[in-house]
Amino acid sequence: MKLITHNMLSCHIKGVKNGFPFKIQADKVESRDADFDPQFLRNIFGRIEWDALRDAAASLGVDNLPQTVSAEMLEDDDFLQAFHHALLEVTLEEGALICPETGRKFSVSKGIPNLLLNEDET
Amino acid sequence: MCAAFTKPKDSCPTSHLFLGNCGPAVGISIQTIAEVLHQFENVTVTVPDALLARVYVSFQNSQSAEQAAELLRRPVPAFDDRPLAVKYAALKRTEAEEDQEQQDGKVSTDPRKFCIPGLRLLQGFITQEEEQALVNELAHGEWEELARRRVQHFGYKFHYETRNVDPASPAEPMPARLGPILQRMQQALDGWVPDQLTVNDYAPGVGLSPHIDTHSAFTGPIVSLSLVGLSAMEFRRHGLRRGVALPPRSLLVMDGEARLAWAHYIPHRKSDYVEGVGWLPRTRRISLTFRQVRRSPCTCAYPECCDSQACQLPPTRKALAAQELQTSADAALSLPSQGARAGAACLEVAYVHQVYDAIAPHFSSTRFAVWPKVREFINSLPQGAVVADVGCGNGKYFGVRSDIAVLGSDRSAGLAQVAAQRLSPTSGNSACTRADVAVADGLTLPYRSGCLDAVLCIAVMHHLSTEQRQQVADVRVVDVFYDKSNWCIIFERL
Repeated sequence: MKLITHNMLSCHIKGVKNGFPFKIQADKVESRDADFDPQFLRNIFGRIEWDALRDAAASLGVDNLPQTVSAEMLEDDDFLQAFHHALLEVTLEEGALICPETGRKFSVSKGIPNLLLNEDET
Repeated sequence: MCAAFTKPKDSCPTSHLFLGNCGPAVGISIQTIAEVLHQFENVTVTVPDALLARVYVSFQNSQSAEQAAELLRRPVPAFDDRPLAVKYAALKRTEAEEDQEQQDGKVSTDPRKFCIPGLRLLQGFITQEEEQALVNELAHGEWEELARRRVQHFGYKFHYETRNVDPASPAEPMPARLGPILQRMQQALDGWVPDQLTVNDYAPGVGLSPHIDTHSAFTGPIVSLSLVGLSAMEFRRHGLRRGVALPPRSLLVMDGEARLAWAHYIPHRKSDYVEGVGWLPRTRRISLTFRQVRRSPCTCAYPECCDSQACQLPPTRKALAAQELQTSADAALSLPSQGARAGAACLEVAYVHQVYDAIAPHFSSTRFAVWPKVREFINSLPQGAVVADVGCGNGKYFGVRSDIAVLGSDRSAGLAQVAAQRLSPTSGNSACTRADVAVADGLTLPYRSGCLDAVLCIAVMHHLSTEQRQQVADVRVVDVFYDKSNWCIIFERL
């Protein structure tokens, strides 16, 4: 699971109000090379909840993202490289996503989060 | 004497039309009919009986006949707006033609007369001693039992679920005893050397379903050495059926068109009628099929038969069985007791999710064509769009564009794993680095609201067992849009 996915996921158990962002339990983290495309990063930037990305990256051991961001930083190559790495290259192979409201754990195995709900959760 | 017409065997358009309530008997002359149809070339009007109100009209091709039928089904002023009965007609077959058709079922000892390009039969390719020694040696090998026959693989294992081999994992080498035979084969086939061998042991009467060997799996000819007993093999293409007798110790070579475009088939039957010989009972037959593993996509001139190009592999029996399960689930739902939500969900688990988990690798190998309309839709999205691919299956839409993010999800963990292979650079193809996969239910999408530009939901709705569940899925899908006036695509093939 890449952090771009984490940034879009939200706990969807019935009744949960604040299901975003999931906390991360990281048991195994990998990094896979992805083509660096600054234009893609500039385009996607507006969709990203920055605090969630920064905290998620930190929980996977990537702590070079700035505390706050602005649109001007999208011209800075060092920033783009760090953003690219955190968003698309770092992947959670084994671990879990934890609902911030209920503490319900969704396992992540072989890089794939399993977000299926039990019958009483829908 | 005029040509005799008859009803066609099926409802497909032919190049002849039957017109009822029309003709000289009701005051419409042949001349008038020809004038009404003047826009079509080479029209022939046939009146089978001047006293009956019916004529036959023959056109250059079925397309013209189809257009004419449309025209004639509307009121025609020149016919006083008289309503016509318009049907397709076929020419009656002459006795000679009927004869020719019967030829189709016969089995010939010499395939040369069929003129199928690339098909050859080399009689007596090995000696009886060689045959006996091979049969003895194979008897001690490890047989894999299939539904009706048993097999051994050498060089590479052939996987029947995917109808392909894994070039990365070689299996046991071919028996050393084959050395001299392989040398002879090399001489006979311009230096061609196989690297894969499948041995089939057919009990008397057992056959083989009609098929063309997977193009993407093998390159060059497909060569089959027959041992022990004779069997008929039928070659089929475009409705033609050509039977060839394969005697023991003969080598069948299928190359070019014969290998790429003709299906081969061994009828399941107890005896074969061989031309010039008569009825021959089937005995046990062992075949050694030699092939060469292909390592790049096929670019042959028969895209309609080629899984590397336009064609999907036809479903295996296993996949058909899975389809049947789904159909019976559908049937169960039309019972009066339908509607219980839990019941519907259970059905989906039993008949849809479990089936897909079980058939995932095979299913995936049959689904790689990108639907053109879907590609068009994906191409219309803005750069940097975030797209959910709900029910992503094997993830075939992940790589359509590299400048958008695709979040795939599937209810089947098996399919999600297959899709995940596209994300890793080891899969051989370039990895889809802007895509990702989760296991999730389309009924409860796990995305924060407003984060998506588009949702792809392709050929998914038919898996949901009630209309209510389908509507719920629609509404929840709409919930997660970035801009609610924005994009959604729900494609179902009806």
